[in-house]
Amino acid sequence: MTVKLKYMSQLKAALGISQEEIEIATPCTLDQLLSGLVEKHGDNLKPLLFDQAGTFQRSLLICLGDQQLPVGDTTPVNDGDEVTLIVPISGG
Amino acid sequence: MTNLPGIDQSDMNPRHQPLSNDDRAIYEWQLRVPDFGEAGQERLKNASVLISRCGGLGSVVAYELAAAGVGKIVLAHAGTVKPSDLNRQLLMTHDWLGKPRVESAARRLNDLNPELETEIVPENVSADNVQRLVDQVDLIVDATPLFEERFALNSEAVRQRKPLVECAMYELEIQITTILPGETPCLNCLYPNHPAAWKREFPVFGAVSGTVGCLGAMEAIKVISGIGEPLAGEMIVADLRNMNFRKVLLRRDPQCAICGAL
Repeated sequence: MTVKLKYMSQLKAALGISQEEIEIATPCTLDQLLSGLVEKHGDNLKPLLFDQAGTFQRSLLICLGDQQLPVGDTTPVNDGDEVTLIVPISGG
Repeated sequence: MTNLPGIDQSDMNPRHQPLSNDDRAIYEWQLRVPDFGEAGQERLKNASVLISRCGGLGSVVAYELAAAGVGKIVLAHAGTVKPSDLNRQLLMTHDWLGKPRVESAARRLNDLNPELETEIVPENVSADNVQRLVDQVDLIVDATPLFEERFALNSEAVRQRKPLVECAMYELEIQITTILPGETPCLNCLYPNHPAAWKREFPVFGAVSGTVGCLGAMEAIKVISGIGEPLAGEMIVADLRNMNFRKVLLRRDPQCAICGAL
């Protein structure tokens, strides 16, 4: 199935792209999707998604469609879904 | 005063001020907003707002709230005006380089609105001053770059159950949400850990900070006056590079260490 991924702020800067469509095996959950992204993008993405202990960064907003879901969520991802990864930004 | 929704000012401001004829003349155009009117303007006049840092973002929030007739603004920001402030910090001027930022900001705000009460605090928000700062206002706008300060504001706003408008920017992107303690996710629900990737200095245009500053001011006006629907439990995530604006629905963490018990 095909899933559209959107990357915001520092993620976009780290990857050099703002969005991509990827093919993933069915079934796939949200946390499996994110783990697969690290395999795809490697060191550019890993420190933004995982801490040094290898667990998900808890301060990451993950949206399936327009609904934010908790980090590590095991909601199934379906064909055509759009997943947005939003890292915290601040004022100044 | 008409009992509008929005924040309860009855206990916070016992010395309620009615509108004057000068107020009616100055605010004539916004008094025409049908669900705002004189009652909404009175609420602004009797409201107080803490703006944490009056940099690129907070400057514009403060200027718009001063223009709208908010009665009192508390500005908390340490440091002096630097050349690198001037691309976005619209209350700072060349002739004020090297002088305190809050003094420059208050001067500009009072040029615009001499009736505005400004309290300047030449300090950034910290654990030592946050209770006192939050205690004296009805609403807080977080325009702060450092997450330590944002988390301190969030904790105190939740403890005192005061609305907190959260504004953020990076490059050509903006994020904004309004926290209503006990009703919406708080900042700690969203970001329970210190964000690993955030750096103190980052790329941004003044037009980006100005955009989110105007949105933040509008959120404050809405919450104070009780009009419209604030971004409660929602966040605008926008990329001005392609003008893509979207709203995402935020999730409250029932186990949140800060607001979970409310």
